[in-house]
Order: sequence, then C-alpha cells, then structure tokens
Amino acid sequence: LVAMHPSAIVMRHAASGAPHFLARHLPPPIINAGDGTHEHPTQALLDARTILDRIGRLEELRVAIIGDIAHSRVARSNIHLLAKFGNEIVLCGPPPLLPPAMAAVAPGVKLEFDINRAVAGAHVIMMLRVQLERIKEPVMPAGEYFQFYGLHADHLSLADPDAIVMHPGPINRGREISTEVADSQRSMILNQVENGVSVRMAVLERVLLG
Amino acid sequence: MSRKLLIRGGRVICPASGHDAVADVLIEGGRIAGVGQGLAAAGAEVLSAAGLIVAPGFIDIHVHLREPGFEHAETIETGSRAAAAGGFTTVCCMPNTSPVNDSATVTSYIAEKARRVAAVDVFPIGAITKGSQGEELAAIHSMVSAGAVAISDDGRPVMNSRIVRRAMETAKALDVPLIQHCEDLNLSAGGDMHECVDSVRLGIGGIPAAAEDVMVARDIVLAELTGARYHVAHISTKNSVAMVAFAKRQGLPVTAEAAPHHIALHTGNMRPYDSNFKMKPPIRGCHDVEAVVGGITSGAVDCLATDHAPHPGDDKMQEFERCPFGIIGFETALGISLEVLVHSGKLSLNRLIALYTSEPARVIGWKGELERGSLKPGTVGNVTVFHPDFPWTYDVSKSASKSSNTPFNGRTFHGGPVVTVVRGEIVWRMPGY
Repeated sequence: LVAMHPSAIVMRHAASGAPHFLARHLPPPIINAGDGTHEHPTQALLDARTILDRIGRLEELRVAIIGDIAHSRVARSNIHLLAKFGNEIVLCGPPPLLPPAMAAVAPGVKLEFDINRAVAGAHVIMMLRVQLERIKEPVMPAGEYFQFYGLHADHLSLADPDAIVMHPGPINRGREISTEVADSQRSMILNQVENGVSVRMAVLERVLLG
Repeated sequence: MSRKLLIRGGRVICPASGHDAVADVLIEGGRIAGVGQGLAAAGAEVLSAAGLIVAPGFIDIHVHLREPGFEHAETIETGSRAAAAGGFTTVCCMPNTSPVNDSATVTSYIAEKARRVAAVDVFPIGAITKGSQGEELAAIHSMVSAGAVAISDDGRPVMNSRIVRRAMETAKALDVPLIQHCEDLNLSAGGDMHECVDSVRLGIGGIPAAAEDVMVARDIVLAELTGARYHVAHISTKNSVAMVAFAKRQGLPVTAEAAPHHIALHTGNMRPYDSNFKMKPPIRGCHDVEAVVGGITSGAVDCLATDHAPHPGDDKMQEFERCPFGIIGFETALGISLEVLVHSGKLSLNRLIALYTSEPARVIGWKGELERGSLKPGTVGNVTVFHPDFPWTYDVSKSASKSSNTPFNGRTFHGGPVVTVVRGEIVWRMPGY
C-alpha cells in the first residue's frame, strides 16, 4: 500500500476500528468510508446536508432513528453529529438491537421500543437497513419486524406535518419501510444519494488540499 | 548435587513460616538447608541480597507455554525463561496446546520436555474434556498419574453442567482442583471486549460481566454438591468476587485467582482498537477492578496468577476483532502487583508475597517432596530475590518471551525481580546484577 504512494486512502471495512488501526501504522491520511458497526462519518455529513436543504436548520430538531441500532454505524455517526447541535434524538428498535448503553453515547439521546412514540412529533425519521438473517442475535421473525418496526404511511400522521423520511440505502421494501413511504414526497432518500457525491468531493478536497 | 548456595543478608520474608527478618538462606543439594545466621556455608557460592527481599520461589498457577503445537508463539524453554525473568520458579501450564493435553501422553511429553529444558519447575494442568470440546471427559486419572496437578479446559469453559459435575467428582477423588475459565459462551458470543458504554461507542461486540457470573454461580452450586476443590481462573467481576466470598463463608473449598492486568487496567485505560488490551476475560470497568482488588485484600481472592498468553506479532497485528485473546505477563507481574497493591498501601509486602507463594501452593496442594511455597528446611530450593521499590522501565524488546503482546511496554515500575533461584541454581539475574 505504502509503495503505491497514495495521497490518501479511502477505506470501507467490515471491522470496527480498522482505519484507526491502519492509521497508526501508515503515513497517508485515511478517510473512513464506514468501519464495521462503529462509524460512517460521510453518511452523517450527507444526512446533515439533506436535512439542511429541506428543513433549513440543524438544531431544535426531534430526530427518530429506527432499526438495528446496535449494529449501525450510520446511527452512531448521526448521533454524534446531531448531538453536537443539541438535538433530541430518539432511538427505536427491538430490545435486542437497542442496548441501554446507547443512551450514554451522546447527550440528548433517548431510547424507545414503541415506534409510534418514537415518531410522534419527529421532524426527521431515519430508517436503518435491517438484515435479520445476517446478524447472529436472536431477535424476532422477519415478518413481525415489519409489523412493529417498519415505517408505514399512517406513522407519518403522528410525526411533524413537515417531517422528512431518510434512509442510508439500499432499502429493503416491505422490511423496514413500506413502498408507499419510500416513494412518497416526504422521502429524501434520492436526495441523500445525490448529496453523498458532493459531500465526499468536499471531504476529499479537504483532506488532499488541506 | 551437594552444591551449596548461600543467599546472604537479605530481608527474608516467608509468609508460610511467619519469618520476616534479615537473615541468610542456605540451599544445599537443591533443597533449603536453613534460614538464619551463621549457617554451615563452607564452600558455598555466595549471592549477596543486601537491600533486597528474599522470598520463597514465586509460583504462577496459570500460564500458557504453547508447546506442543504453537512453538512459533512460545516454547516450554522460552516461556520458562520469561517466567524466571519475572521471578517465578514454578509454573502450571494450561492444556490448550496442540494436541490438547487431554492424555497421559501429552502430559508426559510436557513434563519430560520441561525436565530437560525448562529454567523453572513446570507442572502440567490436564484438560477436563477430550480436546477441551466440552463433550466427553478426558483421561483424567491417567493425566494425574502422569503428573497433572489440576484439571481445566482453560481457554474454554465447560458449558455442560453434567460434565462439570462428573469432572468435579473425579477431581475430588483424585484430590486435584478443578479450575474453570468461567465464560458462558452464549452470553459472550461475538464479544471482543467488556460490554459497556465504550464497547457500544466503539462498535465492538461486548462480553457482559454476566457471562462470567452465571458460570461462577453454577459452579459454586456444583462444588457444594460434589465437595470438589473448585478454583475460579482469572476472576474479573464484582459479582464473581462476591459469590466466591459467599462460598467461602459457607465453608466450601472454593478458591480464586486474579491476574495482574485485571487489577492494573480498567476500560478507561484501553487504547481503542489496540489488541494489546484484548484478552479473556476482558479488561473490565473500574467497579469490577475495585472489587477484584477488594477481594484480594479481604482474602476472597486467594492468589495472583499471570495467565501469560503469548501470541506472535502477526496474530496481534490485525483488526481488533480478528486478533486472538491474551497478553504475556511474567515479567511485569511483580512490578504491577507492587504498584497496585503494596505501594498504594492496600496490602502488606508480606501478604503480597503470600499471594505468589504459600497461597498458590495451597490452591494446588503439592505434597511430600513436591511441597513448595515456603522456605522451610527440606523444601525445594526455589527462591525469589527482588527489590521492593527500585524504578525500572519495562522494555518488551528485551523480553525472554518469544512474543511481545503486552500493554505495559515502556511502563515504569517500582520494584521488581532481581535474582531467581530454582533448585539451588541461579536461573536468572537482572542484567547488571
């Protein structure tokens, strides 16, 4: 790797801390494109960009993040970013996927096992990808998951009238989000993808040009 | 051999006999000949111990020597040299070798090899189950006949309660302790560090304290049922310590050891994603560390043992989750123990020495001519000479171990081993002494 003299390394890795480990041993800057279940910083940045575009602010928000929180690097990075602006962050998911310690990860974080209470009054609803077959945790049958933790159209009436729905993608239709919601006006999913390009260009520019 | 070694002028502390005074120690023919003044030392090699502590040879009842099968990490010889450099004169080696030490053949191999090449006295611990797979009992009678001093599947727990019961019944009949690595594998599955806010924040799978606690609880119940001598390896949690204390109050023959790293480090000291901090049981939270230290001072925890677990550099230079568990520990054990327990005022020097001598000897229960852990005349001539507070810095690149997986490299300690004597021979001296 070092022999190729890279100006920077962009690293996406299945193990949490892999970029940190590498950075201790290699000279070039390492951009974390997602490490295990730890963080996905550029995702949080593009999510913030998306919220700013549509809602116009990054503070005084009630944000609900729903899904497999325990294994989500997207959740963690968003929690860290949104907490810096003093927002109210509600994490929601089935108990085996929502460890109590998550409430101590940043200020302003609350835990909720009932999706209706989680989305009530929310300005932003972030749905996380759920892959029950992949995780080795005993949780609940997949069909039951959609019933109790999937986002349906009627949940939106509990949220803020201007609430937006976000998802880091790729989405599992009928698993964590209904097709109706995914394709609705409230859904910012495609905007997120588009913002991802410019945000990552900015990160690269910052790292390479200082 | 009628060789004589006179260790002169040190402060001789022998907890087993209650001795604490400046005196000479004479070793002849590999056995302690006497402790006192004016001993018949004509023709003896003289070792000056002025200003130093002279104690019975330290005993480490939980070590991994990796031979047979993992000689790239350590061998009986190199491990024993590292032990000697840590002031240890007797070690008990765990059976997670390759092949696992689950038969008289492997037990004999280890004992024989150690007799030929080891710098210190080595006693094998035999496996509880075949291959340590937890399914069928190993050849426990045969291993004990071949010299095994205890049984354990360490590295792994025995999950099946019925097997633990039968193993305890066997151990009791053979008068050897059953040592358990307490970890409920279902609770710890996927975990690589202590389950706490840090593990959640870092995205590393957690090993809850409960994984250890549930097994300690189960085993204490079975120890009561069978009457076996039951020993908790590397105790690390608040609840485990409390339960062992309870068992002792009930008069049960339950004992426990703690590793120096579990009293020196808590999760707040860990460098994120650094595998030199990765072992099982994991480094725990500060309340657990406090409880283990409290258990040592109260007597709930009987002795210290390093769980010296070498791994070659390549294995520990990977993503955190892929690295094997374990750190080396011989050469830093005394320095750590002095700092955390004695210099802090929590424990007397005398009691610390007991934790490395008379207490581990009591847990294993060596008898007759194998008896050790004291300086009583006639006992094996193993002596540890150490300085109680001189400053020194640990440099792992100079370690006698083949491996260097330690979180303590570069750390300065106050007090450490100076000379190690095994069967009347000086097997290690601090460089320059």
